[in-house]
Amino acid sequence: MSEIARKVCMLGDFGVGKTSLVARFVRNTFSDKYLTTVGVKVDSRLVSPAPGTDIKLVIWDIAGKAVLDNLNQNYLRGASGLILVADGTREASLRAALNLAMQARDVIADPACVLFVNKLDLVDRWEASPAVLVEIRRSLAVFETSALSGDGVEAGFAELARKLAP
Amino acid sequence: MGDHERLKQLIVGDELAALDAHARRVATLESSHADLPQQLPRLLREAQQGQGRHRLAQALTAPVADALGAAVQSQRHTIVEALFPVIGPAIRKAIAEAMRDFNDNFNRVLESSFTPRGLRWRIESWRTGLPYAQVAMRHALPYRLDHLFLIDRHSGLVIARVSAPDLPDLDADAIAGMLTAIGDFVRDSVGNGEDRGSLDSASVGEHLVWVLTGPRANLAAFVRGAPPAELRTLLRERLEQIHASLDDYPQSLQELTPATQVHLHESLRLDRIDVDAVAQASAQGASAPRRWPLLLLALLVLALLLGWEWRQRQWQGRLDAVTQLLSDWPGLHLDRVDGDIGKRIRVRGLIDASAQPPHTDIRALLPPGIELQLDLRGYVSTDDAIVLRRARRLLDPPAGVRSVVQAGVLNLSGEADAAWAARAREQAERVVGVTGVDTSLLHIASDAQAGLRAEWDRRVQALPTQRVHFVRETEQRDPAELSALLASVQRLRELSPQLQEPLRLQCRGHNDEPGTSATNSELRGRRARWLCAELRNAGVPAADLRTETDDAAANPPTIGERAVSLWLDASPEDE
Repeated sequence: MSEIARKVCMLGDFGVGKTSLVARFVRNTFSDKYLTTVGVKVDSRLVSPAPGTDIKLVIWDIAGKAVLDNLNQNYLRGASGLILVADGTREASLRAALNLAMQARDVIADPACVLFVNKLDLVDRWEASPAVLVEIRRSLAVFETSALSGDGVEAGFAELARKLAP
Repeated sequence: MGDHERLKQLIVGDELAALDAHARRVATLESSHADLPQQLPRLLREAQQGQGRHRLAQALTAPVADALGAAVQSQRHTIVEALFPVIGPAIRKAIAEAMRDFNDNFNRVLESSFTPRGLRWRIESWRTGLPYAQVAMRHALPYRLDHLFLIDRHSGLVIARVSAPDLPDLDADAIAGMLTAIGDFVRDSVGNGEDRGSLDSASVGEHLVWVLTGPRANLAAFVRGAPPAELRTLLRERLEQIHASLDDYPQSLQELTPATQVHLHESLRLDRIDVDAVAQASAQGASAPRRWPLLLLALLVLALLLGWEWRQRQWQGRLDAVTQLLSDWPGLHLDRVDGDIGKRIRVRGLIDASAQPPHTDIRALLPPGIELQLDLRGYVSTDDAIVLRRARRLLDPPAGVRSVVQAGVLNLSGEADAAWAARAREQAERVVGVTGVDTSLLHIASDAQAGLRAEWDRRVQALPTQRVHFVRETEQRDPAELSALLASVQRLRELSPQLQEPLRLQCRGHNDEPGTSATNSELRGRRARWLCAELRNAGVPAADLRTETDDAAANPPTIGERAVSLWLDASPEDE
């Protein structure tokens, strides 16, 4: 392998737009039906966070759940990064994402982590208050994204790649 | 303390103190040894801290192996019970795989046993010593190794990968991740989450995926076709070798050194794996090479070659014999002798009409059943034998004459009469092929009158044909005829006394068709008398002449018979 590969898991509640974000970022190799059967779908994309540095992000899109079960914990093994995804229109999904992050830290030690607050295109209906997001930004890189328009998606993945770069 | 004690203390005091110290140390050691069984578990736990775990494992390798061996010997039942949960599934799996392989092999053997291809495989099996089923499997079920992924078992990331060169690129990391995820899914859903269950293989149509699990990395093989069982064993061995090389990376497998990555790629090279799999299959399946079939085949071929060579020599010998025979055959020019072995012989050439036909002699050289084809065209031979034969036929030499032809020269020797000798000299030059005549050894017989006698005979024989023809009655058509006849009679009258041969002549008259029998008879008599008169006028004594009454029946009248003829009278002389 000429490039470095890093396993990245996407966690978030059901319906927050994880799969749409991945679809925006990568060219799908596998069908989405794996999400409902196996509970995960894996794709990859090569990212260059800095000149001369290539990182292949192997993205495990784990089916949306508010709580990690045993199988999902297995999927997290060996991950170097986490992408937490929340739906800005549902404040509960933000709490679920943070909760999932806490559970994931039991499986993987000190992962590089970013939070995508999705559905920026519906920002006028957001329940997540800016104050909360400001507070979260103190410990976590937060990106306001829209899978529909693509806003913030590339930047979020690039930030994660930068964090994962050796 | 007495003086003795003080003196003793002065002399050996230090040694006594050392002895006391050793005694106390021994007592302490004995005390600690007595507590060892209680302290051993704690000591073992402490020994596993940090790097000590590896050293402890190495130190215990030999005694644990010995202890296990001794336990198997002395407490076999306990060991069997302990291993039963492991052995049972392993045996069942092995039996299931063996039965499946047997079933597949049996079906394929049945399908291919009696076809030309099956017979060819049987010969290959016979030659190589491999079981027929294995040969059939090797030919009938080719496989191809498309991809090999070495996957970090922990993260599902690809550590190393090799693909066949002509395949389109694929997202190996995504595939490896999904494969790992599905393996986890299967293990969690089917294997109840226990580590011993895992995704072992999956197949769709002709595509087959093998996942060989290792402690730290899995090897995923994407195969098309029907691979031999040896391939899986070989991949397992490669995975074990890879794990041995991964010992230098106790933590992460994602940041390997370039040297290790090269080593991994070498371990995964598809072409070497294919070659090794075939070699392993051959080594496992092949019994000791059976040399006798090859030897038997070689002997058979050798015997056939020798037989063919012997037949060729026999045939060539016959051709040479025929060639030799015909080369010396008088009057025959040989162009070529060939044929088909054991079937026919063809002879092409030229032959003189005077030569002996060679069929019989050729036949005598050939075994029965061989067809003889002679393509001989005529020509004139100058062989001495043929020229001699030709000369003898023409000259008809008398018994006392010996004739030989040498280099075209006819040598006549012996004794012959002068007439024959003269004729031979005259005619021999005209014999085709005779370039010269040598009669130096030919002696003329002592009969000096032979030539005269020959002339006498010739003239007597020709005399009746020298007729004198008439226009009518006794009017001559050509007076020269009478002159010639008289000249012949005159020569006979000269020879008669020399040869002591009597000369009495008979005059005969002839006539043509018209006229009555009496008239014609009278005419014939008149003509006969006319001739006798002419002869008397020429000097022939009348006593030597006789008029013959012609027999009309023996000499039918024609226009050409209006003539007279003269015959030597062989009747007894009148008294």
